[in-house]
Amino acid sequence: MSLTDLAGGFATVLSPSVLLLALLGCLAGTLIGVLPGLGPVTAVAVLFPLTTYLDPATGIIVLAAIYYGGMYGGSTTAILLNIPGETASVPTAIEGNLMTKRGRAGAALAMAAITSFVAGIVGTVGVWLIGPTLSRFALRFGPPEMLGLLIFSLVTIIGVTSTSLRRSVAACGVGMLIGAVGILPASSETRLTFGSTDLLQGFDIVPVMMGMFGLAEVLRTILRPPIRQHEVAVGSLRPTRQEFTAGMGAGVRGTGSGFFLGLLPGMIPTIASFLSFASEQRRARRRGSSRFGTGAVEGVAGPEAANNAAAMAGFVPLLCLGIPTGATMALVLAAMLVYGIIPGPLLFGQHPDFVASIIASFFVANVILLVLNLPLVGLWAKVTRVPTGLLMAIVASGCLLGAYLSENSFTDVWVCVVFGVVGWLLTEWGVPLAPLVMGMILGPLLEVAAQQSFALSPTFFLERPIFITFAALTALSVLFGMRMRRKGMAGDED
Amino acid sequence: MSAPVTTLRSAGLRAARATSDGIRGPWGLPILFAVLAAVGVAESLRLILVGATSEARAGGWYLLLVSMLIAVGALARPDRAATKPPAVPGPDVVAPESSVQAEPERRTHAHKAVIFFVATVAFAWALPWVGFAVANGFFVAAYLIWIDHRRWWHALLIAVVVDACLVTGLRLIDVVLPSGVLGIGI
Repeated sequence: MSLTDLAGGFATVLSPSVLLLALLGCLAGTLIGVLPGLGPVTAVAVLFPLTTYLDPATGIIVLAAIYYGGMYGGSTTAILLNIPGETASVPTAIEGNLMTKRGRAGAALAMAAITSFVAGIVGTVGVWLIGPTLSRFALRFGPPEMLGLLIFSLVTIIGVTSTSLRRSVAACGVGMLIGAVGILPASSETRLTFGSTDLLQGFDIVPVMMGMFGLAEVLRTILRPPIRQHEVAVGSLRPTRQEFTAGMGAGVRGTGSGFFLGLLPGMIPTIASFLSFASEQRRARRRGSSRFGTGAVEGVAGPEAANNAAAMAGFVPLLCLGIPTGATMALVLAAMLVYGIIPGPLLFGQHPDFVASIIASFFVANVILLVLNLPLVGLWAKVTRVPTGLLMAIVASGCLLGAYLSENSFTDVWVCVVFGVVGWLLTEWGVPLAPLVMGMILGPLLEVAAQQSFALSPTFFLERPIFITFAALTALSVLFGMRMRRKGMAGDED
Repeated sequence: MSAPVTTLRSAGLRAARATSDGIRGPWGLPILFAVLAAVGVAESLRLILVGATSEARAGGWYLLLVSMLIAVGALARPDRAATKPPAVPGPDVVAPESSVQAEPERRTHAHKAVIFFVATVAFAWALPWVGFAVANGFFVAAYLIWIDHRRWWHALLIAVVVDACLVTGLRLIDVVLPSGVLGIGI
């Protein structure tokens, strides 16, 4: 992608109407993100249907702004109240809240915002540089290569989520079972429809995700004992020189590791965040000057940067290969399909203007968040103390409306309700939802790729070097997952 | 008048507690996975044995594989935490403060979950008939009265204001809302 394309992208994004929408997206995303328990997945799930009324480029721009806003909101509550809005913010909450208790909340928030901004910008440049090259490489992919990649993605996400491997495997299987409902590929026969005409087209991903990540989250919030919040003094947003140096160092390291981990399909940002925290803790211990346990800024800056960089990097496999790296990316994929854009190797070549607008929007959303949300941090801290009842009611009705709007179908509203209960039940039982979502999205692709691969050659797995490479990577990812499990670092969700 | 309401409320609470206890028991998840795996196996066998085309039979084999994955979950050991009797606080066993307080609180919130579920089902059922504007207004009011425990007039006032703002805001961005048989909120 040329600089001219990118300049065109900026011209689109910097038009006043798009800028205003991006700004509103950031604010709405942050508003949902700061609500205890709700994170970027819920923010994107609830607000995504409204973006379908915009043109594709603007819709994705607003969606990216909502996503960033949700992530920012999650880290704010993690630092101020020790309530991570998403699992990726758990490491931030550990040291960030200790900094708050030391009266350094402002510095922690500022360093989280600055390092997230740096990671976001570096990640965006990475998407711009790596995306076109990977797309050209992916053009060589036939069904066997795609099959190898899909197996790798599923195995990775199973390996890195949840502390119970069996539950992760079964969750992935349930997702694939849900994805298998409907008319069989390349056949007129039906599967798992039980005679219902409503099920012939299978389940649409949007109402399923609205239910599992929206309604189920509201249900969990209702069941959770109310959080008694107290006034938190944010204090000065200016970090000391020592905090700034230590934080920036950790941020740069987190950005590097987070971006490269995030490029791997199935490697959710949560893992990058936890790995960065562990690596910073080890580094500090080795140097003999560990402030971990008393509020170390490295424990905030590193994970926040890694989380943001991995989230950015997740757009590379999504745009180039059509493979989401987690639940939020799955929603972005669903949104792109609704807009009529099919992500994959041809996207960079066929719609360079669209991709350029997305990349430009990442830059702009990062700048908006840094410039706007940091001064508003006091306001966000107050929002967390507003009784959540009304907001939860709006979130719930927004989910039901969103489910309807995705296809203008009342059946989808019922699908959303059913999957809301299913999502709540599964999380009550400790079943991770990320492998389920990935199984539901990637399962049908895997089935088609497997059928086509066997039709090409029954021994394709011995003949295709790229497939063999993916098989080796899958084996490595199994080993990595086992190691993480032993260390107790497997994450729960996207 | 109050006796039937009290009876209904206590029956609701009992149902909510029983559901909550059942869900959190050790066998709920393995049973769910076993049922799903059995459904998958039955359907896959149908496709493999009587599928008209080779694609249908291939689809059956795929489903069989998926069912095996789910069966792995059914074979998983029940949650140790769920099977183990709760530790009794005593001289040697000190229960963490949060867990002691959280459990009764969670139980009192279980009936709220039942109310939320009923309200959500009512919303989904009413949406095609009365449209979004009316269904949403009642849903928000019901949530605020029975889950957030606000005074009814306060809840109604908030619901009307929120509903009006939502509908106007959505119409401003050209969102076509379901208007029901009466065409309210077009």
